[in-house]
Amino acid sequence: MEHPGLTPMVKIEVVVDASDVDFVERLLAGEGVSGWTAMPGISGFGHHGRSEGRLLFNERTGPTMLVAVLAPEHLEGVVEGLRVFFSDHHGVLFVSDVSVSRPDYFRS
Amino acid sequence: MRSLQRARLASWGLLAAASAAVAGVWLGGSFAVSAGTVRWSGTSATLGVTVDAVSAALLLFVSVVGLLVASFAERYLDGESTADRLGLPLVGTLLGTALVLTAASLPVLLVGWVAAGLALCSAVGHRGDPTARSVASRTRRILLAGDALLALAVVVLAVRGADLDRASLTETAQGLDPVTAAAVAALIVAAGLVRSAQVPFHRWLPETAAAATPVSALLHAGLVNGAGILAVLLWPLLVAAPGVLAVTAVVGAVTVVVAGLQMRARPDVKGRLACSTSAQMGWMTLQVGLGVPAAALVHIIGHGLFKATLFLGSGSAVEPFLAHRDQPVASGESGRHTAVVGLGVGLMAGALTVVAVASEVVPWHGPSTVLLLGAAAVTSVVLAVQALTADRALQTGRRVFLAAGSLLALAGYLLVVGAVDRSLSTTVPALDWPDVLGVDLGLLVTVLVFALLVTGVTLDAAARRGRLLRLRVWALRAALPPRTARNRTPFWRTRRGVLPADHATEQVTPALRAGVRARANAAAELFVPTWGLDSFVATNPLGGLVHLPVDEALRHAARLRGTRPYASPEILRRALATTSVPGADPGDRVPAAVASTSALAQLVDDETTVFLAAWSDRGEAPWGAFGAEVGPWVAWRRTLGPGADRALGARGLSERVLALPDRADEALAIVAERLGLSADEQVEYFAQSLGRVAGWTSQLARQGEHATRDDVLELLALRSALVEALVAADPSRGQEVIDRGPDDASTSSSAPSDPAAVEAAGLLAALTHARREPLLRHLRAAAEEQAAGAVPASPRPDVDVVMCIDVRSELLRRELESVGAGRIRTLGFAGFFGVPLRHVRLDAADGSAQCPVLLAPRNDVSEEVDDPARRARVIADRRSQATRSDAWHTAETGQLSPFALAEVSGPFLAAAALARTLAPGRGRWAPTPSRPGQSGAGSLEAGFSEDERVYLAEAALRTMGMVDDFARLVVLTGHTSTTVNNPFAAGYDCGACGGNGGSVNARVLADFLTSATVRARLVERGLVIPADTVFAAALHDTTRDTVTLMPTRGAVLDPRLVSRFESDLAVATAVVARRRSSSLPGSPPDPALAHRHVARRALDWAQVRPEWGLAGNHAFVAGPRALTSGMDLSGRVFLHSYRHESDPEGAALEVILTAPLVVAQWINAQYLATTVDPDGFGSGSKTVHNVVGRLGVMAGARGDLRPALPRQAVLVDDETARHEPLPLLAVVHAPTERVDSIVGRHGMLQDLCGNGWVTLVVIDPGDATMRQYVGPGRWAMIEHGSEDASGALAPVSAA
Repeated sequence: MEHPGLTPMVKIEVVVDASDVDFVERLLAGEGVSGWTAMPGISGFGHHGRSEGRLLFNERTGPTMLVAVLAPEHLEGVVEGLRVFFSDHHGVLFVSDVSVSRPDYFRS
Repeated sequence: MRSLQRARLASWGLLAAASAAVAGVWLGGSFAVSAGTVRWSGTSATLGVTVDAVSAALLLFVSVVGLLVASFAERYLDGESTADRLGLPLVGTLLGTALVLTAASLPVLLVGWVAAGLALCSAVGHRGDPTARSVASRTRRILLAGDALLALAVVVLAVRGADLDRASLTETAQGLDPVTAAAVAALIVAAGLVRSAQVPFHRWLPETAAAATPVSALLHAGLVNGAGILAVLLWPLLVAAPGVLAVTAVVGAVTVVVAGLQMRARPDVKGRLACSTSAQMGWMTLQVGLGVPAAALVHIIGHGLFKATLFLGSGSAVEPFLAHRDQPVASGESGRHTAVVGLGVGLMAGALTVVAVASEVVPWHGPSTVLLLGAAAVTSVVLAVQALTADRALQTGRRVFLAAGSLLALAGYLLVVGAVDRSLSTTVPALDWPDVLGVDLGLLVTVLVFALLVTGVTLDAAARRGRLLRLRVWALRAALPPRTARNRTPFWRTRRGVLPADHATEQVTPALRAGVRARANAAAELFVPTWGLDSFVATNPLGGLVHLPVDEALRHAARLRGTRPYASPEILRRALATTSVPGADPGDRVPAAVASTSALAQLVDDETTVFLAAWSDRGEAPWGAFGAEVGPWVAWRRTLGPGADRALGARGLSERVLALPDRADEALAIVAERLGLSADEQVEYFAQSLGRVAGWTSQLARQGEHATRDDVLELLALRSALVEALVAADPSRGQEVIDRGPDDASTSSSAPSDPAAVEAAGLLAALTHARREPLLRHLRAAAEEQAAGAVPASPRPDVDVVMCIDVRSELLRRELESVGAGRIRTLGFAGFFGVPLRHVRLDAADGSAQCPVLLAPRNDVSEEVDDPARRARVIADRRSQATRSDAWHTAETGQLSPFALAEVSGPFLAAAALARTLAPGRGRWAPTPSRPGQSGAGSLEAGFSEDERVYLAEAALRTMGMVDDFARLVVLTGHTSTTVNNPFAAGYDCGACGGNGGSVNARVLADFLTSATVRARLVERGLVIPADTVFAAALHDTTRDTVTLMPTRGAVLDPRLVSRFESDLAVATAVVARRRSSSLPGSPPDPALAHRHVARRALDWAQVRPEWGLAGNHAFVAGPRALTSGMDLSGRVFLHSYRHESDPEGAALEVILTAPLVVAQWINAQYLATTVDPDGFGSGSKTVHNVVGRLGVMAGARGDLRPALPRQAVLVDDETARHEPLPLLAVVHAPTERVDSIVGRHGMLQDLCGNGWVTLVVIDPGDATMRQYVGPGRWAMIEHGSEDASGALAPVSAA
């Protein structure tokens, strides 16, 4: 749905293990994504049972969610990189259409 | 070892003989011993020795170096199976050199000369491994070629009927026609130039870093002085050919410049020292060429002593990096101020030199005197200016004191050189320069040499400012020759040109590059990040393979990296012999790892590792890191050009690589396509490529953490592009591209089939059972007592001692509990005491992260000194020390300053080195520990909010189950170690503190728990600490067996309690010292000497095993101490305190299983893998280590980074292991459901426990039943008597 004065963009939400965050961030940066938000220590339930959130003395395990808004032309590389990545790693990727008021803010 | 003992005794004998010779010459002048004279066709030679002042002085020098090296080697090579092969070559080198120095005639000298060279080559190759053998062989070839020139000179003289006695050389020289004289002089000089590694024969020397450190010390101190020794001994023959000497001077000056420039690019300490030796020898050659053999004599002795000390101490090369981090930030003077100071000091030094010459303190030899003394003046000016201007914050008095010292040293140098020169002037004929085209040849040579040196200074200055990229690249690549003949292509025969490919026609879509990036990531994940030597913490070398069972992971690594796939059956058999389990019959030995040695792969590996070392340098190379601001792909491409094409033997290679995109992922995508790698093949190929440089891959993975740049991806692009371009240049190399290494039955991923592997598996199972069964049996019995309520409640103890879970703590805990029975209780907790912090010293810019690498430090803790006067003094002392070391470094790495520096400082350095070698750990000569215990100068200022203090204090207490029943005194005991000259010092420190000492963390937590506010807040949270409970911190030194109590702000300790506790500590640490000492090789049999022995051993710079560290670790127990206190665990078990009843929700247990257990598993896996293959997974023998970039080590002159334990950390000798390669047994005293729930929430734990990396056993507190984890939600009951010899545990029923 088009909104007047807004520009269509794509939002991705990626949930991966904390040890894999570096890869996802480098992929996003390499494909021209201008920024993202990381939420470490999230918890949940899925194919591999319950996942616990933040640990007191270990910041390198547990699920992390990364959220990014990017221009549609940057999506191809991100999706292909994550598709190959998910062939042997746990995690999920959600892609959705969003609109933003400041498109330049999301372009590198 | 007897062989090295004999070498040491022989050195003492030589020293006695040399001393007698010096005394004899002093009292009665020269003397000779002859066995007769050989006459042949008009020529004659005396078979005997003759000793004059020069030979006596040199003999004394050689014997001192020999004694230093032999004494050092005896302890340094302890446990090396090849050490016995070294004694004879060492003695041979010394006696050969002694014969050269005292030969009565040239034939005798020649015999000594050749013998010394051959013996030294045997010493270089004594380890017998392929690298050592091939380096020794190449060195032998080039040295023999030089020897042939010397032999030819002798033959020419003999044919001419000359008298070959040294005593008659002046007459012999006068009797030669000019052509013969020139030919003989040229042959002698050429022989000397080869042995002194002068241009163009200089490249053999850096390669010899493959030899053990003491051998390098002997080589660089003694044998390499050949040109100077020949010149001093045969001076009459040389002085008869001034033209030859003129050329000699120019060659020396060229070497000073060339080797000096190469030295400045070297990021490895031994490579830098080797290039520095070539340059120093260049200076000596220059002194000879300019007709001043007296100066050369001073240089031989001064530099020899200097360089021997630096080589023997090369293990401390990482210390400047640590020192720089901890020192107050220096603020230098402005450039203008520095120039004014430089002018003033320069005038003073110049005036001093002029006065020395004018007053004839130093004899005048023409313009060359100006040049040689000028360099000495430059040295003192560099030192003085550096002292005066490096740090504006240092008091003027201290600065002037340091500067005055350097001018005094100059004055002393002038006196010594003058005295030697005058004493030789009566026996050494002066050089009489002829005129050339009406100009004095000496003046011409001096001017030419001066011009060359100025060129060197100018090039150096430009390179230091980041210019002259090509020069830097050349200096990096040219220092070492290619290893294989195929890669040794002369530049005029470089392979035919390759055309640059037009990548514009090769479309790289975002999907293509992102796919390659993901596949590169899959390959990179097989290599775990590793830390530098400054914070050397354990990691699992197989950490990328924990999704596989342990044995499969080992086989997979074998295929990928060429490592051994299983432990040596011999080692396992010997270990098993120490248990009550009968051993198996002897079987085949494990095959050595077969690493691929294709010429293409070696060329790519050498290019990669040389570049990466320079790129990631942290201060070793005087020119600094190369292109560190960009990734390796981008930085490496800057090094390409015609020079790279020549070095790599492929014309057009650079153009082809430079035509690739700047983006590493796009370049890699194109190259993978050109190499014909399908998507499926890419991961395998990438992993193989990274596996050849696994050490660097792991290091880059660490360095690049949290950065958006992917350095491992860039490394892959670099290696793959290089391979592709080399194949394009020579398609016949295409078959070498996919180089899968060994792929036989022993390394395939399927079950092993070779008999040795099967035998090793059987032995390992038996050994595992033998070690685990008694522990489990005891734990079960203790748990049954607890469950039955048979353990009486103990009264409140006087002291609770909380120590790190580190296995070394158990020994001390046991002894403390024994000596203080009923009064002292002990607990185990992670050694960072739950406080992740960064410790910053007074006024320092940076600090050390004091927490496990699983965490990032959240707060800074600053060192503080409350007394302002003391604070100022501490800072001034540190600034002085920093200024001294900076000034030294500047002078040592300058273009002209290193020469006089070596001559002046050599004797002092060697005196200290001799003292610390002959009387290790004693007196004021003992070296300063690498990492002083971090006690700091005073109090600590912790930057934590009150909420954080309460939170961290509560978390620490609850995690270790310390929630009630506090003792009157609680001592939080961090640990550290004391070692010297040890690149792996951090590996002995507290891993939970990031490879640092743990006192700061202990003090911070003690401060928190002393605070009344924190205590009040803890009461609100249900934690009541009695008012009379006092917290204190302490530091346990695991190498010296000492425990030091440290101040806690606001805590008032009961003096009687403390006094009694300190008495208990003294008794307990003495017992521990006895136990540890008896397990260390070379320790005294008398137990009464144990404590003193371990203390001295810690400060012994020749000691490669200051302690055993965590060797032997095999189990982890989380539970109350009562479970384990009845059993002597011999310092092999990690003990974490845990009380299940105070942790109903399992929060504390989750912390324990996801952090301390994980770290313990890393440690266990690192020791396991190192024992399986000390050279493949470990860093090999310490004796050949070469610290590179102040970051890690490599073996010898080149090769991969070795970020892992040395073999001396796990092996007593090649067939006896101190560590046994058993995976970790983890025993948890908690309800099974609680543990199951935690494991179920963490895939990491499921991998570790499901694949045999950790055998997880739960003892249920309710009924003392034991269960072993077999998979998610599945546990197997372990019943009494179910264990059998085939494995540790035999589950009989599923629960």
